[in-house]
Amino acid sequence: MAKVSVQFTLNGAEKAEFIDSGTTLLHALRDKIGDTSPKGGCHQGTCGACSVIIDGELRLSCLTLAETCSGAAITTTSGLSEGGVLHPLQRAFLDAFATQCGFCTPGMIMAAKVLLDHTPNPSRDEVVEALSGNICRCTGYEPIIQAVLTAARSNSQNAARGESKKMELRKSYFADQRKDDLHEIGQPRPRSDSPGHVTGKTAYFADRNFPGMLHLKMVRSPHHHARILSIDISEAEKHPGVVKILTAKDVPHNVYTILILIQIGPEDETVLADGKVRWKGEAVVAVLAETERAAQEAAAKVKVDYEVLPAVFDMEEALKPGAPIVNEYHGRNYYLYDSGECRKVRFGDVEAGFASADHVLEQTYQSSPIEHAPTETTGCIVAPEGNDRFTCYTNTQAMFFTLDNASIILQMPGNRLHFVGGTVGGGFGGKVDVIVEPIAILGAKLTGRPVSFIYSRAEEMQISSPRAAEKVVIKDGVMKDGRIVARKVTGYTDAGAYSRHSPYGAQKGAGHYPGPYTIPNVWIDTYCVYTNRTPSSAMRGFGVTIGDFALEVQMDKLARLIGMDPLEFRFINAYRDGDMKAHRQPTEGAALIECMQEASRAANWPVAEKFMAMSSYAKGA
Amino acid sequence: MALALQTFSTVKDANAALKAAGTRYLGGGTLAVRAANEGDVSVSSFIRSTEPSLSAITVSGGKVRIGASVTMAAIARHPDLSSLSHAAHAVGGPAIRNMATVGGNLFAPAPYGDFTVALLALDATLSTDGGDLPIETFLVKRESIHAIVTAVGFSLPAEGSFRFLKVSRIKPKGISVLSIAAVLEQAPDGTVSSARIALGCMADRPMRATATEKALLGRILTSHGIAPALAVANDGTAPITDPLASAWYRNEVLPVHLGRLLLA
Ligand SMILES: Cc1cc2nc3c(=O)[nH]c(=O)nc-3n(C[C@H](O)[C@H](O)[C@H](O)COP(=O)(O)OP(=O)(O)OC[C@H]3O[C@@H](n4cnc5c(N)ncnc54)[C@H](O)[C@@H]3O)c2cc1C
Ligand code: FES
Ligand code: FES
Repeated sequence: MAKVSVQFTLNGAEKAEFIDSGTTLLHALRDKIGDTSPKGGCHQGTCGACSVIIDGELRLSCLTLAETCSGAAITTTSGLSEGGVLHPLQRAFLDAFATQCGFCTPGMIMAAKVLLDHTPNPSRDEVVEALSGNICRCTGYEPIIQAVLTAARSNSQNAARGESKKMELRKSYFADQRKDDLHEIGQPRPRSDSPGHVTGKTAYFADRNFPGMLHLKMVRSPHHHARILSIDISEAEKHPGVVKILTAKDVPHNVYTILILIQIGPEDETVLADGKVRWKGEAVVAVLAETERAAQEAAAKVKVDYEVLPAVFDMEEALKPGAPIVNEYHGRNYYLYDSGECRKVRFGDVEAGFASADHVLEQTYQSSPIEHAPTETTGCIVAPEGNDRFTCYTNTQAMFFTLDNASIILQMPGNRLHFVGGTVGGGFGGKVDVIVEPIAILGAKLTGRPVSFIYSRAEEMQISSPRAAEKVVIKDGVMKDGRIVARKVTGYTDAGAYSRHSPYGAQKGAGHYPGPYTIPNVWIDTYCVYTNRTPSSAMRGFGVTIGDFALEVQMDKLARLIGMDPLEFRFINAYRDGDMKAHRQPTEGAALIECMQEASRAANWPVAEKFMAMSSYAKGA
Repeated sequence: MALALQTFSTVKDANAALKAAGTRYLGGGTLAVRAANEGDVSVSSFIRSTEPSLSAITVSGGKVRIGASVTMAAIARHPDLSSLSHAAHAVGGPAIRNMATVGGNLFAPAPYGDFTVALLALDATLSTDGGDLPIETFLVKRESIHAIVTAVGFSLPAEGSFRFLKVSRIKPKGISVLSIAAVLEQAPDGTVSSARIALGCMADRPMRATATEKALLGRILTSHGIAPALAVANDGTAPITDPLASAWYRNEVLPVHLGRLLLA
């Protein structure tokens, strides 16, 4: 491979390196020079996390070839603070809570710095425009915009200091329920990880580089459902730079399911496809090579012969008799709970409730899969240690869960696995599946070399599990005076081809309905359904969030039906301490009444005085 | 084959290097490097030229010449090109505009190529070492062109005659649902005396709205006056379907946005 020399200044210091021709500036900075403050969130120009300043202009280091920067002056976020004193932008990001996971922060600060260098007093619109090439999945942007405006106003480091915005804690609620004599809890505190984020010093799993590290690329199924007739890796194996190619037979315990740790089986998913693929994008063959490029080239040479099978994408279709069976380990297109074909809750007599109601309203709600799209993609780096142990640096959100599952899949005692986590560049529940670690550890074991397996942006968007698509049918009986007297919910969760966390998600749905309302007659059925779609899994309140969307839209419709204010309608039905829930648990620690009282004030949506006088725990009120 | 970059000081040498298999010219790299990063292994050698004329903008006697390596940011801030600045500004966010070149934009498949839509309406001429060619001819056969485009040239539109609109779903920066550029000249009585209208995302590459152009001639720019032109807005379109919008949606909204542009 042709080596070329590049010379530039980085944050004022001269740098001269020999790099492979064609190396991006992002890789040169991170892997050769060791400045890991620019982050690789997409390598396609979309996220802005890799932004750097080259000769005074904002550039994307992932799309810039390092050799085109010879002679240039490059600035990165790691070079902004001097002598331990934060740059006004860094200070303002810290104070305004403009950084959460921190993965976008170095790029955001670069974009903001170029703006302020040219436009010291920008308008809000100018700030928004300047940041428009940078994506943040955590903050919702407003704190970032405010931070940039604050930094601009401060104009000097001294003025920026001490402007720290205090978090407001509304302590009047439940004041008689606690002593409020703790030193840390209940006090506003700066986030301890923010200084690392704004200086680019926070270490994410990929901010390390080992000599001799191999890169893993996955050959994936182009079909939604197909039989694998043959796999030919002979050409790929001969490709220069290829070190190892893995197929199903290399994986010691290839069929697994993550929830087996809590006895939720059967094992139903393959680490590498064996005989069949059940969704488009399923992992079939893993290629390990000296460079990413060699791995990509070899992956293109793997030949897989498929016989395409009929696929099913719709939950109702999947549940019909005669539908193609998605997953033979289940033998049917739904998860069989110990309670039968669905999770069930029965409370009171729902039919009698409907019969006595003034109105009955049945509505169907549906949602599509939702991708978490974290700015940092899923991945891990595994280093074999001398003592037959493996250290796995990972951005999993489920450390020990992953370790235990890797131990099962690899048939390797857990004490040989050392998992190192750290700051995750946005997870939102999307990084709880055990997908990259076992195969990367296996690669490290079979080659004796460090292995990096990091999802591309395309893989993150299409391969990583999304939130499940759901369908929710709600039937309610309501009285003219506002009381809901019966609620029947049928929920369907689209697990995709494999269980992952979905049987639990559907169960959570059963646990969550009928919502935070006290209803005397309740009937709940929730199904976990298999289709030939990307396996779904956890995401922020999975099994609950879509249910809440459906429930609250239904609440508004019911209020409209009986001509009542929607907020007052909720006060009438809100659960309060001591109320018996449909699951036969008495309610404890409810705070819905108080939340709605605050919402009524904040949104300037007045309700009758009697509702403002209510309390979640003092039943008389 | 590993990826490599070869840099040449002249266009001539770069053109010669491009004859080898597996080579691709590198402009700002926003599409070319991106493709390599995403696993396109068909290219093993990027070729670029640093010939200074590629980065020059000249405006004289109402004629504009923009070197192919000129970036969108450079066009947007050029004092003599203020009428085009918002078309250049429509491409990407700030960092992309500092990298994206005119040359690369000419080759960008839909939904990209917003600035090329403007160039099509302006009836630009492209220069190569082998001679000049009109932009329309270029667009038809751009896949088979392996020579470096060195510059684009066009006449500066008369004051107020150039209009540009990009429709996207994300503000302030987003990929196009569609884009429209128009050069409209009006007679003293307000009737349209000439019209050249180009559409982006209404095919796999920028296209002329010839039926609309014809239907506008002799009409005044009122909602009644433009009605016949809007009625044929979809003539010959074959929009792309992508995650932003379906072909059906693009066809549905084209007349609405075209109407807004004409009445603006
Ligand atoms: C995040 C993001 C957002 C974007 N947003 C937009 C947008 O809003 N609007 C838009 O129009 N585009 C957009 N693009 C696409 C792209 O940035 C622009 O079209 C840009 O103008 C391409 O120019 P480039 O110099 O980067 O091309 P390159 O990537 O360098 O090249 C693209 C192609 O053109 C060829 N080429 C380049 N220059 C020449 C030349 N002089 N002669 C012959 N062949 C040449 C290359 O060989 C290559 O095949 C976006 C891209 C990204 C990554
Ligand atoms: S824009 Fe460069 S990594 Fe995302
Ligand atoms: S803080 Fe912006 S992506 Fe996490």
